[in-house]
Amino acid sequence: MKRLIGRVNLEQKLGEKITFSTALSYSQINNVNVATGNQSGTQQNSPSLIRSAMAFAPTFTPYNDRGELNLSYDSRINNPEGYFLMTNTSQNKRLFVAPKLEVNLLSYLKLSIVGGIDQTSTTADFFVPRKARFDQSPTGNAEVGFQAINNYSAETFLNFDKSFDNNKHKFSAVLGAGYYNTTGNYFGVTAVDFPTDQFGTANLAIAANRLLTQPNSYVSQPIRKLSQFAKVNYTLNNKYIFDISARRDGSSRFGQNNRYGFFPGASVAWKVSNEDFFGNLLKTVSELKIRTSYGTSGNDNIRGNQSISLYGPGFSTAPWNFLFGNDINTGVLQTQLGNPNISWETNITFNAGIDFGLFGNRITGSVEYFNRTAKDLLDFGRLNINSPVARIGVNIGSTRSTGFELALNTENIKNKVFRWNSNITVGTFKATWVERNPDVNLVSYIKVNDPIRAVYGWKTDGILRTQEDLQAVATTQPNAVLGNLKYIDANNDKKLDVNDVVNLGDFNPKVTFGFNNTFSIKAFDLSAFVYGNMGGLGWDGWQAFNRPFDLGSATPLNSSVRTTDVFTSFNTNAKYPSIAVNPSDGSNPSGVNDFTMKQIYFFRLKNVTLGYTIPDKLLGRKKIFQSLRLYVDAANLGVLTNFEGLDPEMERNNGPYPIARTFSFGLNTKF
Amino acid sequence: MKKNFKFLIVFLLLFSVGCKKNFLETQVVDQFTENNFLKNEADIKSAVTPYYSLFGTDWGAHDIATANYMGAFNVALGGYDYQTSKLTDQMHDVWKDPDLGSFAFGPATFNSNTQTTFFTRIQFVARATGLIDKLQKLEGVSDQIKNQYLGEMYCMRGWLMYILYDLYGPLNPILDPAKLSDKEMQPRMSDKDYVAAIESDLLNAISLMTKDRYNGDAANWGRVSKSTASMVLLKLYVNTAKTAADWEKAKAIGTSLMGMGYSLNSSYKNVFIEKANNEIIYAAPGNAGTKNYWFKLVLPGNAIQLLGTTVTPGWGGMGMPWEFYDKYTTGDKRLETIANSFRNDGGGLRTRLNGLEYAIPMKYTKFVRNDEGFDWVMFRYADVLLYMAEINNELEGSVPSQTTINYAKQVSDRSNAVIPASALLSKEAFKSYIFEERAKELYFENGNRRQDMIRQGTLISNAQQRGKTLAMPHHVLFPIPSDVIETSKDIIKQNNNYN
Repeated sequence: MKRLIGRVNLEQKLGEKITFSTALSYSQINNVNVATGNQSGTQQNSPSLIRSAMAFAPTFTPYNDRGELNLSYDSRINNPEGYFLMTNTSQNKRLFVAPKLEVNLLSYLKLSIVGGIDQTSTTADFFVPRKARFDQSPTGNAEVGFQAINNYSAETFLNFDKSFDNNKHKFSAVLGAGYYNTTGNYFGVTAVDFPTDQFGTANLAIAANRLLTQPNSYVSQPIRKLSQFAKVNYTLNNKYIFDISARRDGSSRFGQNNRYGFFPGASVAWKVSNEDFFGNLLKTVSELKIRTSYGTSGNDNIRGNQSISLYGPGFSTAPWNFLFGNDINTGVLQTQLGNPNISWETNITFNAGIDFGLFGNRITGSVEYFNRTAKDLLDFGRLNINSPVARIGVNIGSTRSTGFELALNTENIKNKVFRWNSNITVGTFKATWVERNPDVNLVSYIKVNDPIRAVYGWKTDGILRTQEDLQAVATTQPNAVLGNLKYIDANNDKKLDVNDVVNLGDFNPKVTFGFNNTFSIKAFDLSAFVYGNMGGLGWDGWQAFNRPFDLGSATPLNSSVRTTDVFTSFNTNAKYPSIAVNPSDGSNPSGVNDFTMKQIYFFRLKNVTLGYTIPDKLLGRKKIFQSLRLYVDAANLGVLTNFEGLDPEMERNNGPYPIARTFSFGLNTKF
Repeated sequence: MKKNFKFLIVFLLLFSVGCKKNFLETQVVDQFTENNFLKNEADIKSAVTPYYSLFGTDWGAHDIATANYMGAFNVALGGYDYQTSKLTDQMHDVWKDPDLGSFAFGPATFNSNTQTTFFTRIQFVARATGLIDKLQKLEGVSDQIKNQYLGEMYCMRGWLMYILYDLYGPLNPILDPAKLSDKEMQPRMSDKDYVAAIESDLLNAISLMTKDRYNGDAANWGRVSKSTASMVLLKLYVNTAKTAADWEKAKAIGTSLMGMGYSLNSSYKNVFIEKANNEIIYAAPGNAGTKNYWFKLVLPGNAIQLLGTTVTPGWGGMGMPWEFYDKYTTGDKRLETIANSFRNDGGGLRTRLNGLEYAIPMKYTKFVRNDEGFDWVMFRYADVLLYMAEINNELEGSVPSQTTINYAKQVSDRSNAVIPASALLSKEAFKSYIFEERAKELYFENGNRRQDMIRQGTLISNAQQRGKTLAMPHHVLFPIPSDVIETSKDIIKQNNNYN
């Protein structure tokens, strides 16, 4: 990866009252991407390096006697060495310009006009050469694409700021309006069949298969927003703070009658430590503030524009095409059912908290309670399964998350030689449904107010290891065979079905925390950051790789070593069930059981950084550098967990890409 | 202060922009809307094409409107024939599908979001209803053009409903355009009404379309015609026939098909090689610009030559069990399309004698590389002849007549196969013979084997004989996916004996 970043801030005073400034930045990032597609290589554009490396039969050498890449028993599994031969790069360019005009109309009144141009473009180069011998691209495949996303904005606002009566009454207010526009487009070419690997994506014109070589493009629907906002703040005696705000937002994503939403808010705070009666307490409690707020905000984030019905071809990679004679005909199908009533989702947040400082702010921190409700959620609703378009963008239901957060910063030791600071955050929250979409029928085992990330499934009770075990489940699992999982008949009706699906728990953790310590001795500094969570449900996705069948097939694949711990007639104490089909599974509508599920915890040592700041005297008299610090950083050093899969934070798919452990060395300087 | 007022005016102007309506007007630049779609013949052609696309041989398409993946009916791996063949004696499933192959499937095995059993095609029936309605009301296009496309749409709606019926029994597709956006869901139709609806669509198709067939019309090859609709109707009649009157209806449509100028190709092998030959009633067309994974699916992972053809290794996903292969007698020309050995990468010959576990049902012996498409035969005249033999045998007395025998004899003669004398001794013996002959003639074609075994009543007993102890009589129909039942508030009832 290579980065180039430049930033310039310019400021020009035009007379006494007018200031013109511009922030300008440009960045260019060249990425070498990892092929992490979650397929075993069955899609040209998403082969998975990890999956291939895991499944490729280890008995084959990377190359055969002819010097070609070897294919294993199953030609669908790409040779992992092939990934070194392919090109998969992208280049991101971003230009950001924000001109700003400020006019001090009066001493207490300022007008600002701010513009914003944010243009991002990405070029992608993907090339699988013939010699990589990828099953899906035997004759070479190239994909080149150019994508641009442009954001334009303009905001105008008036700032009012004035105090009266010797700062007893302080007023500040903002009144403004904004305009926002987002556009995007894409153009790309897929080229197939390269007579030579020599040119890579540099010469697509040599692609020989002109029927499969095709252009792809789209222009995304422009999304526009208009906003008007106002905010008033009043502080009395520097003790009581009142704040009222309101905004009105309009979005082109919504239908004509529902474009605008109104979002008010208010907050009150009391600086208790500024009260006269606090006097003597100040020695211990140096700062105390009690605050509460209520606010609303709008969200229009749903794909495209769901208010109107659309008709178009399918995705360019899999269009609704058909061949008549020798001509491919493009099909057009309804791609969206419009909902003219779709409108803003409203997020309502209530907060109450205490900010404090103790012992001259050696200890500072806050305790906060929050309650966030999302109302009229923007999502896709499901219509009758037999209707033409079985989903529609709608405002459905409501969710709520409530919780506490505690943050504590302490200066444990502070003297001339040695300093030790700690920083602790602990949070707990619960996210549940409040109201569901009335048009959608809830599956019987889901309750209205269940957690958002609830998991439903059958409970298990180990493995059926003996004939006696089989006898014991003769009524509920009459067709079971040895090595099958034993399921619990939750409602005790002597049969296993939808009524035995229960709420197994919540994927969200009960507690999250972070713990950072910084030490400094003279010019050296050392910091360590640990974070983690506990109490969330997790399952062992790695179990999917216990596949003895893959080893024994006519086209064997490599398999997890834990495959040897699968139940067989000669390994009846195995940890995992046998590969025999469990005949009851067809009656489990959730498709989930709790065999490898448990409440997990993990602590990750995220960063350890050691730095050395070069003392001023060594920098010399001329001071080319105002300061200079060298550091080494190690990220993701270790995880302490009860989780049995690969990594408690990793995606659960069949091509997981591990979180990297990185070591870096760096230099901070100021001129 | 004057200056300040100027700025205030500028500010207010900017502020007032919010009142201008067209600023937030929805813009659609890359798709059609209700206002500009379906105006002329080109639009109609585009609107009809997706229904054909369902019968393509590439993987399928992502249905943007529902976020479901729709596997094509004819994709080699995962398609209609592949999935249904797993239940039958003609497939050796190398990858051992744990659900279909072992008859462990139940309502929870299939989810309507996955393509496994094609349930979501019921949405295409509703979409077809909407399109038929729009076509009927469309102005500014000649009746001749409208009728042609209406005929094609009726044919494909009937065909889709027939496939769903074959897999699930009668469902509740929306056939009344007035009900397309109803919130209330109708229950499953009765068997009688559902079959009548399919019949009505296909009869409409036959009367509206003008062409019997497109075999001589290269530019239109791939379109459905009177013969396609007749063929689906023939299959519907044969597979639902209970009374002599039902068989008479089947005979009538079969006779009409026989009058459309089709004939057997002189070579079995060439049926699958020669484009648009006179035996093919309908094929999903393919060329180098389309995809077909058939050779990938059937060719073993290290095969470089078989049946005298040079090939490149495939995935070796399925084969034909030797028990099935042994149904063919020595010299049967159909064996020219089924390999019992292949030469592997190292030059060695893999045969039944040195561990080859199954025969390789190439069927299409003109190998094309790189997953290129080729015409995929769905309906053909030999199928009609064998149906005619079966139909007439049902309608006749205790032994089949010579005319009836001759229908079948044409098919077996072509492949140098002989009808055993014992098969002609009784109605029952001849019936059994026909099923055996259909198995051999139509192996791995269009889901015929499962249908035939169900009609013969042998699907389940045969599976049990093959050691599939979980196979139960109710498995002749697939279960309705459990999420469909749950989200329909139980308006859609499950098929019998699935829970």
